[in-house]
Amino acid sequence: MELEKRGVVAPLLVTSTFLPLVEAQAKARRVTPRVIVVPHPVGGLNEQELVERIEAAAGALLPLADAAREGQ
Amino acid sequence: MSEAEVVELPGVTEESWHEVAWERGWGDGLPTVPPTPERVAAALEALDGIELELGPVPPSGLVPTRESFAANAVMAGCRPADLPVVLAAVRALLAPEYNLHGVLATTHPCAPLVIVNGPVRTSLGINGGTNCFGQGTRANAVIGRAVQLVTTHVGGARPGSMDRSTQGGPAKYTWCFGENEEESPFEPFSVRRGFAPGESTVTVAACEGPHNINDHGSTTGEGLLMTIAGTMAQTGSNNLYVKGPHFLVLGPEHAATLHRDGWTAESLRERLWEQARVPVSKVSEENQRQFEDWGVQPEGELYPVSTGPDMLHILVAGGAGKHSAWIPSFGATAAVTRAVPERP
Amino acid sequence: MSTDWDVAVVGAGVAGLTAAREAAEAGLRVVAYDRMAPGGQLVNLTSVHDHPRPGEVAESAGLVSRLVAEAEAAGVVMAFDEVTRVRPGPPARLETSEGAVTAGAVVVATGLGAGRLGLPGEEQLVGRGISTCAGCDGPLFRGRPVAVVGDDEWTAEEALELAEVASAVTVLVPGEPRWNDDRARRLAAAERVEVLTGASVTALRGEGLLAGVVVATPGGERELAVDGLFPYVGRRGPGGLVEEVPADDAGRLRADGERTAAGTVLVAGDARSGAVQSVTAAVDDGAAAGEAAVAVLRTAAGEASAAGLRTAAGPGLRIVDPTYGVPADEAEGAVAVGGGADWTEVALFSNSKPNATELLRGVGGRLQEHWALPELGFASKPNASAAADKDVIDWLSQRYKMVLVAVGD
Repeated sequence: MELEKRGVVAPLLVTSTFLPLVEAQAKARRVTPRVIVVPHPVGGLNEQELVERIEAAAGALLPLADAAREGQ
Repeated sequence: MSEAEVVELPGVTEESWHEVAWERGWGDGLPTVPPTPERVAAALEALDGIELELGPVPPSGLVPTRESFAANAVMAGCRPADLPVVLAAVRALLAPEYNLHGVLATTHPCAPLVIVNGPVRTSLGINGGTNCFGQGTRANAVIGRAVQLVTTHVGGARPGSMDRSTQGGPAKYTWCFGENEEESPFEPFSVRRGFAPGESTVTVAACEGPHNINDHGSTTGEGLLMTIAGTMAQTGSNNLYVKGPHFLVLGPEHAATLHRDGWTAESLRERLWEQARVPVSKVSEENQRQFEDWGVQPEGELYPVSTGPDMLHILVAGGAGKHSAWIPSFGATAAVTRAVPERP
Repeated sequence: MSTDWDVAVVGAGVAGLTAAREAAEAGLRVVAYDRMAPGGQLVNLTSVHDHPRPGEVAESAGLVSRLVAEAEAAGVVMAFDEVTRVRPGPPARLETSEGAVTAGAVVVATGLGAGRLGLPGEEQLVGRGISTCAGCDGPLFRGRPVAVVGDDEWTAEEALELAEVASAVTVLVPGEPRWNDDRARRLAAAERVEVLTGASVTALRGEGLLAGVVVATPGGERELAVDGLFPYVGRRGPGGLVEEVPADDAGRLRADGERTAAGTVLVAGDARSGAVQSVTAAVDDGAAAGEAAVAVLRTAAGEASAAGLRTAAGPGLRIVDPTYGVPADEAEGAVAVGGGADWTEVALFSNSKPNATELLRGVGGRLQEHWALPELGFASKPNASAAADKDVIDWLSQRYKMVLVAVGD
C-alpha cells in the first residue's frame, strides 16, 4: 500500500482469510488497494494445488494489469 | 475534551452498559467500567503535567488523545495511579523495534507482556510474588488489560479482522507482573538494562504465555540448568527460527540455588545459550527447509535458541516453590523498557 | 458492532426476502433463515393473482426465484436452519438448529403455520387425505371430490387451483367469506366449486385414509364424502418464538407498524397481527420492515439499545469514546514518485511465507509471458513478521512501474 501511495501499481495477492485485514489497513491508510484474492491457504500446498492457485490468480491479474496499463 | 470524543448513550444505564459496549465491539468480553467524562477526568489527574508522547497506533494509524487513552484505562478498571504505568507500557509498545503492527496481525498467539520494576510495584501493589502471572491481584489485572484495550480500541486491532491469531492465548486478556526484586539474588532487571536503581520501569515484549519449568529434584545449579535448558529447547517455538527475545523468569528458590552455586544473570545467559539447543534430528526435514528459507542453519547438529546470549532476559518472580518459567516470544519483536513517567 | 449479523430475518418468504434485500441494499450484513426452502407461502401456490397489479397473474416459482436472486445479489446470505428462539437483547440472540447467533436487529417473517381443524385423528390423516398445499398435492386428487376449509384469500386461491383437477370442490366457510369480490366472482364462475357459508367440520371419517367429513351447517349436520381435505383455518403465527413480544389469539405478533415491543425486533408479512394476506401487502410490509431494521441499526447503537431498554430510568450515559484518535500526519515521510519507470519494469515482492514466493513467481511468469517482458525484478522481506524495509520500498518505487505483492497467508 505504501507503494501505491508512491505511484507504483501494486496489486496485492491476498488469501481469502487475510482479505478483511488488508481492507482494514487500506481503510486506515485511505487507499484503494488492487486486490487479487487467492483461496486460503497457500502454505502447505502440494505442487498441483499451487498450480491451481497460480492459474486462478493469473486469471484475475492479467485483466487488472492490462486495465492499469491502458489507464495510463 | 472535544465533542467528537464524547458519545451520548440515551437510555443506557450503568447496568445495561456492558451489553451496549459489547454490541459496539468495545472491551474484551469481560465487563468494563463505563468511561464517563468524570471518571476519565479523574484518571487524567494522575497524568497532570505529563505529555502522552504517543505516536500513531497501528493498524488504524490513529493517535490516541489523553481522553481516549484514559478511557481505556478506566474501562479496564484502572485506578488513576495506575495510568503512568499503562502509559509507559504503551509508549514501549509503540517503539518501532517492538513491531506492534506485525504483533497484532500475526497468527502467532503472542500477547503484550508487561514487566514492572522499581518502587511503583509497591505503591500500586503490583504482584511479583506468589501467583504473580495468575489472577487475584488488581494492579496486575487492570494494567495489563488497559494496555491491550488501547491497541484493540484505538489501534482497531479487533480479533477476527486485524488480530489474526490462530488460537490466541489467555495472556491476551491481561499479562502484567512485577519482578520480585526483594527475593532476587541479582540486580533488578531494569538496572541490568541500564536504568537507575530506584527508578520505576516497564518492559514489554510480544510473548506467549509462560511455560513452566518444574524441578523439585535438583539441588544444584548444574542440575537445575539441565532442566531449564531442556525446557527452552523446543522444536515448535518461534525463537528457534524467527529468533528474537525470550525470557527466563526464575522462581526465588531456583534463583537462590543457582546463586549459591556461583551463577550470575550474565553467566546463566552464556551457559544457556550453549546448553539449550535442539538436535537437528528432532526437526522435520520440511521444517528444516523452512528454517533454511529464513536463513537459519544449525550449528553442527544443533539449532540454538535465538541469535545469542543477549536475547535471553533473566529475572526473578514468584513465591515459594520449585518452579520457574520460560517465556518464548513472537520472535519479530524486542524487549523494550521505558521509565514510568512522574508528575513534575 | 460485534454481532454476527447486522440483521437476521426469520422466514424467507415474500416479506422476509423483501426485508432482507432492503436491509442488504443499505449495506448491512444480512442473513435470511428458513427451515425449508425459500418462498414461504408461495411455495404452496402455482400462480398468484392480483400481482404485481390487480387483475394480473404471476407464476409463483418465477416470483420466488426473482425474490431470492434479488436478495442474494444485494448480499443476503441464505441459511436453511430453523430458528427456535429469539431473545431481543440488544444485541438480539437467535437460537438456531446450528447454534446461537447475534444480530443488531431481527425481522420476524415466519408467516403462519399450516392450517388445522383441531379434531381427533387429524394428525394421523395429514398426508393421507389432509393437505395444506393445493399446488403440491392437488394432482393426487384428480377426478376426486375434495373440501377446502377457510374464509380468507388463500382459501379461495387454493379452492380455485383445486377446481382445475378435482371432480368437486366444496368450500366450507366457518362464518362469512373474507375474500375479495374478484375471487368471489371467480369462485361463482367455477363449475365444480360449491361454497357453503356458516359451515364447520365437526368430525373426520376414514381409517388410515380420509374418506369424508361431518359438516355442521345452520341447516344441520351432514356427511360429506371427500378424498381430500384442505384446512386453512387455525393457522398460527410465531407467538412464543420471540421473548417479550406479545401475540394475538392466533399467535401473530402484535406490532405498531413493523415495530414490536422489543426495540430490536420487527415483524413483517402474515406473522404480524392484522396483516392483509396478499403478496402485494407482504412485499410492502417486508420493505417497510427492512427500512425499519436499517433505522434500528443506523440510529446510534446506544439509541437502538435504548429502545429495547426503554423501561430503564435515567437520562442515559455519556462516555468518552475509547476508540477515538486523530490521524497521524500523513505527509510525514512522503517520497516523490519514482522517475522514468515504464511498463516494462515489473517486479515481484514476496513476504517470504511458505509458498508465497512460488505463487508470486508463477503468477508473475504468466504476466511476463502476457506482456512479453524481458525480465522481472524480485525483492522480499527477510521474514513475514517484519515490516518491509524502507530502503527496499524506496528502491522498488523508484525502479519499477508495477510491483506484484504477496501480503497475506
